[in-house]
Amino acid sequence: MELLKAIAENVRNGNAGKVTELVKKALDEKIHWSVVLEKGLSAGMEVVGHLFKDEEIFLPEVLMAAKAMDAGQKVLEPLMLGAGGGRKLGTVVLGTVKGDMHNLGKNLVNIMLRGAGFEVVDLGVDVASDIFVERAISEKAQVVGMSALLTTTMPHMRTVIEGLHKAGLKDRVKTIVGGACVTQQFADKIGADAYADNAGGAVTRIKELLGLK
Amino acid sequence: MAKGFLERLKDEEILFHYAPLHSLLADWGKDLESNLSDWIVKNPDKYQDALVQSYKAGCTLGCTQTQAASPWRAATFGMRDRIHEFNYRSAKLAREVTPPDHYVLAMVSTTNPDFLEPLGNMTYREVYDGYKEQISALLEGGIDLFMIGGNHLDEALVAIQVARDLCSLPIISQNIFYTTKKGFRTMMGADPVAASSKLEDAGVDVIGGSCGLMSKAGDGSDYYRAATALVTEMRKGCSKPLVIQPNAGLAQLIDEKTVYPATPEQMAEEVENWVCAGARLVGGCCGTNLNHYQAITQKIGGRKASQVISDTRPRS
Repeated sequence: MELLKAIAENVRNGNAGKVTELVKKALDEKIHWSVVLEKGLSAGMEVVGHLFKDEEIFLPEVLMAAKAMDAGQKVLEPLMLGAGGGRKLGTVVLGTVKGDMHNLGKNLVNIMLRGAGFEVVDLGVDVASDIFVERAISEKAQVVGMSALLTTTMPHMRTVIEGLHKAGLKDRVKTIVGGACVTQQFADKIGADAYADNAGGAVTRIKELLGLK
Repeated sequence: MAKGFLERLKDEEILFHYAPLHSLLADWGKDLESNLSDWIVKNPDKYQDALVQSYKAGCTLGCTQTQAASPWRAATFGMRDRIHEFNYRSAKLAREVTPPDHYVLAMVSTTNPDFLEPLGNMTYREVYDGYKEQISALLEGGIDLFMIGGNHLDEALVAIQVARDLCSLPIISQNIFYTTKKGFRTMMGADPVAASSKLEDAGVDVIGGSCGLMSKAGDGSDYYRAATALVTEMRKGCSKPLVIQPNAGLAQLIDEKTVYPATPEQMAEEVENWVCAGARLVGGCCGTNLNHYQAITQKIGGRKASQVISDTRPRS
């Protein structure tokens, strides 16, 4: 549908004003909010994720697209809340591990996951290992995502994974790790279920972990 | 003294900058996680000793290491009320141990974790006032010139404006570049030609690139050869003296130890090519230790840039 395509395009171009206007128009035209979300806002962010991964666009375009997506979601929010939070693909608990103050990569993953339709519980930076475990339980999360920039904080990822296993969540909660110095080899070594080297890739890996296409 | 710096560059002298004092301090017991400025004011002797060691290794510039002392970074650590202390003390401590003909370089970095509007939520005024608070304290502590830069050129331009409004000290400004399939780009997507040109328009005295150049694959030499390519690109965008400070490759965690792949020998092997491409201020970023500096200062061996160029490139 042209209108949904236009919403996606304006998310891609980071035009928050236009997205707000078009989302309102779509609702006026009785298009269901979940369709607007999926085929408009999320479709736009998916394109952004691919372009970013392919280095066709850079951080400014992603940040502006995220602002546009948020503007659109704000219009949909009352309807989503009425429907019990909307049709989410799953819940991801996300954070930068203990001792590490770096947030940029983690924030990008947050943007991409929300764009793809996940519920994201962002615990912020310098997150203690037991907090990851506690929140994974209380939020009934399917996935825990951990970020670290420093080689000295990377080992905390292992502590979180061990904590989840000890809590008996090995099969119920999947883990994914990332960050500049993190490698697939490191992820394998600490027993993480997945690794991604960019934010777009994180969404793909998480979908694979959950058996979504 | 500060005037002397630009005159020396004009006179074809090659100068050395030791950026990653934090790498050295890490070897001496500073953990990577805590706030660097907080550590410096608690360990002034180690900080001064590191500066002295860097001067002994041949560095001309001593860095204040105040990248974590901006209002924004400090706030992340719950230390927003210590901006004056952090910056004043770092500058003053550096001043005390800096010999004649050497310079105290004030490090001013981009905001983090938020961004300047429209990408982030901070207004120009907020960013301007934040930098003013930091730079005023650095000036009070006694500095000779600025190193302004990081991941976001637009924010660096605000800091440059603040420095220009407060004093007439020379300004070095550099971007962090990464290798992408489109060539070198900053995190914000600016290419070296455009970024250098913008900095020249802003009245910056020395322009360059640092750290970054990230690639998970590659031998140490690859990082340094990439640095030559980056200097060549920056040369196309401006006519100012250039500075280059690549990191020693991307850190790897091997057997619980942090290891950087690029060696002093590999750096020394490439440093003349940086000069040939236009660099007049050379150094390294994360993972570069004092052995790297000894290697490159020995290699340059007190020669002027013109001499290095004629020695390196036989006349055709």
